[in-house]
Amino acid sequence: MDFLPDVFNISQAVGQWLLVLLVGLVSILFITFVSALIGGGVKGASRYGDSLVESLSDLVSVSSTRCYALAKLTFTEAIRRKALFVFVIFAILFMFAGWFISDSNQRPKEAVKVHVTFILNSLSWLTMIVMLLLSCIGIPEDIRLRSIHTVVTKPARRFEIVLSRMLGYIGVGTLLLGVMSVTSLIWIYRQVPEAARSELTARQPIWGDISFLDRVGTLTNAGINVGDIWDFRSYIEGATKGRAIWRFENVTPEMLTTVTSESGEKKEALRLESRFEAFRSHKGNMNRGLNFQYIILNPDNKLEVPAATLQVAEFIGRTDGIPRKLAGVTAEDSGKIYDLFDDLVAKDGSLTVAVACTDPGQYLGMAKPDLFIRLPDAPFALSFFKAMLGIWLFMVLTVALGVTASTFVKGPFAIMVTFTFIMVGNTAREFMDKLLSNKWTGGGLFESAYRILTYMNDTTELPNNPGTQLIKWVDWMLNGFLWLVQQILPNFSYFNMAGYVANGFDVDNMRSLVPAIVVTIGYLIPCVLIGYYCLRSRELEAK
Amino acid sequence: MSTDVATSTAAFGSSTQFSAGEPVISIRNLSKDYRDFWGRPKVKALKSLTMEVRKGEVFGLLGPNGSGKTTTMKLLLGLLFPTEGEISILGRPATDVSKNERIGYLPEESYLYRFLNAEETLDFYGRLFRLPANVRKQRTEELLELVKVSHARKRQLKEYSKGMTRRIGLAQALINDPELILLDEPTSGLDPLGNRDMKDLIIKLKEQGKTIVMCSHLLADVQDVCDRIAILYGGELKVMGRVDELVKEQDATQIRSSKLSDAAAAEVREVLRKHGATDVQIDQPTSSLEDLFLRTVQESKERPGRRISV
Amino acid sequence: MNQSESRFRKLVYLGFIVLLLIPIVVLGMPGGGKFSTPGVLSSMRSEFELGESDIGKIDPTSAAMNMVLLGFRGIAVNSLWASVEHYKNTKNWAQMKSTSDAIIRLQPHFISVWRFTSWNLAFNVSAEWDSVKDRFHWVKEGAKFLQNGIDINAKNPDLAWEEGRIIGFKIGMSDESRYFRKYFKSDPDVEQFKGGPDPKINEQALDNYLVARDWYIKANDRELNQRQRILDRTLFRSYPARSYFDYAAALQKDGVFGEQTRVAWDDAYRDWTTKYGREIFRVPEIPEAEMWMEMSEDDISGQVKTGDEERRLRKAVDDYQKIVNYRYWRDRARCERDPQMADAHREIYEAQVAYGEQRLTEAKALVESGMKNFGDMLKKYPDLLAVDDLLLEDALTAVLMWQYILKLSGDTPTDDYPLKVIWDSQQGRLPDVQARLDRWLLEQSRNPDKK
Repeated sequence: MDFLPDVFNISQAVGQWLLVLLVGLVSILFITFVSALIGGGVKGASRYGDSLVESLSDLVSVSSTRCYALAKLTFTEAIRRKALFVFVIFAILFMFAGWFISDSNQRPKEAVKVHVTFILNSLSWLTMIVMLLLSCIGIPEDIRLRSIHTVVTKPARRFEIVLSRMLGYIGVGTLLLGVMSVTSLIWIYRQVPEAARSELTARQPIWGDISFLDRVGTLTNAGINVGDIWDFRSYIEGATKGRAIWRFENVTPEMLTTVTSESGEKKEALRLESRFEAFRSHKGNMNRGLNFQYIILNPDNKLEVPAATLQVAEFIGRTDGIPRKLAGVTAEDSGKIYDLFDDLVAKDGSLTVAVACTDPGQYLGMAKPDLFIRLPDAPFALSFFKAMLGIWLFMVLTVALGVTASTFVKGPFAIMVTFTFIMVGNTAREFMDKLLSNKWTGGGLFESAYRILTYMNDTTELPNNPGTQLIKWVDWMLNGFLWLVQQILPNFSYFNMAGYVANGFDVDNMRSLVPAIVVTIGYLIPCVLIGYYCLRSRELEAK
Repeated sequence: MSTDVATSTAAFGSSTQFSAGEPVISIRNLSKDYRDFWGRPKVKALKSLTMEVRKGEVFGLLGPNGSGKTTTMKLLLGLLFPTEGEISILGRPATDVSKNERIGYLPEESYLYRFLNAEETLDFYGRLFRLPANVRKQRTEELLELVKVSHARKRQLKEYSKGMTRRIGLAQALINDPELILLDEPTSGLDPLGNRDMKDLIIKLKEQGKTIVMCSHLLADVQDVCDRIAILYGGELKVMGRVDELVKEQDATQIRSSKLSDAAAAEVREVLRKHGATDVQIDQPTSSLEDLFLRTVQESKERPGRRISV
Repeated sequence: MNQSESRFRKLVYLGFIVLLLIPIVVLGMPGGGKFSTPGVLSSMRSEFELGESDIGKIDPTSAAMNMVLLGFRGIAVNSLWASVEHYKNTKNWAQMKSTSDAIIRLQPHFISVWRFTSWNLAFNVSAEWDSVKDRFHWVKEGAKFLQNGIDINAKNPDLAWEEGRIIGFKIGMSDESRYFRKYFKSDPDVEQFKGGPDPKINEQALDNYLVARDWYIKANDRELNQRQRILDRTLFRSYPARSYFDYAAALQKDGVFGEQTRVAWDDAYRDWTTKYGREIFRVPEIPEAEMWMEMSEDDISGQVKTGDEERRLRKAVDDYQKIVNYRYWRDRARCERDPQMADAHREIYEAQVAYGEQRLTEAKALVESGMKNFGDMLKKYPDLLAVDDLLLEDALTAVLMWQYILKLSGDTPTDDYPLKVIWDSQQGRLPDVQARLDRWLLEQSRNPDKK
């Protein structure tokens, strides 16, 4: 797997979220109060108080019966507006997808990757677009046709209207995704070549922490850069003291798996899966891949036991069993047998595995997710449905954003606003991070524009005059705005779990699934509140 | 038409003297400006309206198109927010949703969900009142019977004729057995038979002790069912009072009967003359409210901004 | 507005519509009807052979995709290219390939895309993989990708030439050529191909250069109808014959000597002199005359009228012969097809093998005989000495080998050995040659069973 997000810190996230929500709420209340006071004097203030009390009572008097009725209405509306036509598109997609993505030359593993990625991405976008259209036109149409008049003149709270709209659309989305996910799963099983079925699995990895030793054996946090554009992996030099060292926490004998060795015998072993990259500085022996060695270290007593010397299978990866009993090889301990758990796992329960490259002058590239302990796999369907849950959450978020937008602008605008929001969040996040990281020289928008127009390179200082000050100030403000936008945009990358599934991994709960759930809830709550506030403060007469 | 009649010939402003019932709606200095995108006032739809509707009466809001009738009604329901003034409806502010428990509203055109069928529609609105399932079912049955669309209960409303939609609209307004019923143009789109049914129904509801506010420009309807009326023109209240009072000519007596032969008419004329009656006219009756209405509109055009005395 | 005004306006609109329709009809009228004359665009399309059916196979998938995209093909392709670049940088080869396929579906007749992508797969991606088998897989991917383009663009010569280059040059000349050439005949994916070749690129289990030659021939056939945009025409058309040279040289390199190699050189010679050498070119230096490589003095004077023309034609022949290295290859092939030369090569090679196996006396006899034969041949074709070439390296190798053998057997080299001229003149290349020989010997000693 060529990505591994950090573990999501829920308490920190929730804390920050509460803070933002609180600050937002307080400032909104304050601003509205002040404007009421200015606009209407004491009377305005008292009216403000009344409406505050009313809103609160709206919030607490939510009735499940009414919500159910409204949600059901939304659902019926969507279905009778032929939302299910999307199944036709879906069916067409499936009928012809094979034409586009099947390739008889493909290696089985790649076929899995391509098929799974294609399915999950197209499901995700297809659902997003359908739900976006539905959720953005619901309320504006209701207002335009004035059918909402008969609802708000009933005891239905506007809060309930916003909430139930969302619930109803979520219901529609759930129906769509439910049908499509099962169909997709069957399709994937049928479409993926026979030889590749084994790749349809859900690996259960135990990740470790990585550190490096440089060629003389000093601890560093990164290896050598061999000039790759992609700085994901860093390299160690062969036949030196260069090592990549993984430390796995809480390694217990329960992690042993039955491994079938090359000779066909089955035995208990600790399964290590690796995906290293080879970089040759000379041709070397082309008959085989570069060699690497697993060395098990016990930091408590400085014990080092080589476990196996193996060949790199670049871009394919390999799974090897480290047997429980390992033989010592140095002069002192030759003939001695070490037990993996009794002698090599440290007192704190951690296992340290060092990887060395044994070919002189050659390099091995490694990153944190390149080595892990592989527990027995879970069925593919598990990771697939987890990824579907991710798509479902993405759909929920889309609906929440769409409905909210539709409470203050008309349908087409709501669609544009939401779509832009989602697209920018999905595609430009990395770019914005880079812009805000201050790693790029040449200044902000205006400064760089100035530099481009005057052919000034990015290391030359701007002249010290009021113009420069102004440019810098405006850029600073724009950067501030960009920061705000970046903060407001949800991190959509959590929702895309296709990478795990396509690579045959189980979706990581704490790295992707939980954050996706938390992010969805985190946006859902303010969305409902904002939607309620907008609908409430709105005369439902506007054409 | 039986009402607890309060006799008063006093000025229109002090409406308290019109009726003995407690006020169900009271409006004070209600104004409404429609604003454009930039917040600049565009149209003054309602100018400082003050009035009251009392329990148990049928109150009619009259006026030509654009006079502010519907605006008033929407302000009452909290669909629009007043620019100025106060509304108390069933003792609550207009924006308070909980008051809606006791209100039924028939919008100008029945803005219903066209993809639902009649049954689903009533069931849906019933749920909004949190009516228990058996009550919903029973009410649905009753109301469908009442408004005479039970034969088409399974058809989606988009297949309904205008009149049928109107009937369903009325049924949904009554689903919660409301105390106060607001009817915006209740008879529009109905054929004469439906018109008759509607009026009968209004009278029946009144007999059940319900308060009804309706607005209409069909004067005959109003005259037939309303106890009191207010005539609006250009957002201003022009005339308000009891219908019979308003159309009654103080110094004239009207006698009505089935059509008389010429001989009989001459005989009656003779009798009247005998009792000292002058200027006797015997002809077919005309809608005198219509006269009033036209007169009001005419005068308002000539002298805007003035209350009109009858 | 009254009614007549509105009617008038409608008439004006109608007039405009008709006016706008005229150029559309003139430009866009489809051809092929029996009675109507085709529109300007249609006739231009057939003139420049831009119609789908003129260009090649119509792919229903591409057509469908392009229709679905309406006018947004450009945007779609742009974003796909961005993803290809991203996948390439993050080494996501499978996705990169499938995205490239999508691009090609959208632009099936964009020749540069075919060329770029196939090169990307066969050269760049393949080099990223560590295992030679994987590298070979990606070379094949590039070749197969291109075959598709050759089918779809049925008249284009460039792509067929490019395919010849991948099969000939990439497989035959890269660092891994020893493995690639073997894999080409016996695919490493034993499970799928049962030890035979991948039928998609080598159905008959031929040598890679012979397959490449077929592609070059196909390119030449197509080139007669559609201009190629890769090389000067004289060079472009020389490739089928060149493949023969490469084939023969590769056989030597692989240690295959004797009749098979000699015949290969003989074929190459005949192909070069009688086929390619007779091919007629029109060159800008002397447009009024026909030119071919194998032109005798009589041929030249037969083509021209004036002395000036004769001078220009002679110069042109000379220049173009230099461009394609015509005379050298002619001499080389002539020399190599001589059995004596074949013997020289075989003896030197066998001497190396004998040296590796410590059979010194035998090695010495072989290398000395080989050197003598080599020297005799070079005397026969002195022109070969003038060109920097692998042949000279072979000569150096022979002398070097000889010195090694003498050293090991304790003799001192004499000063009058046959290839001395070359040894003395080519000292600059010695380190390279020596390194190569040493590596060869080392590898030989590592795999004693390999012969």
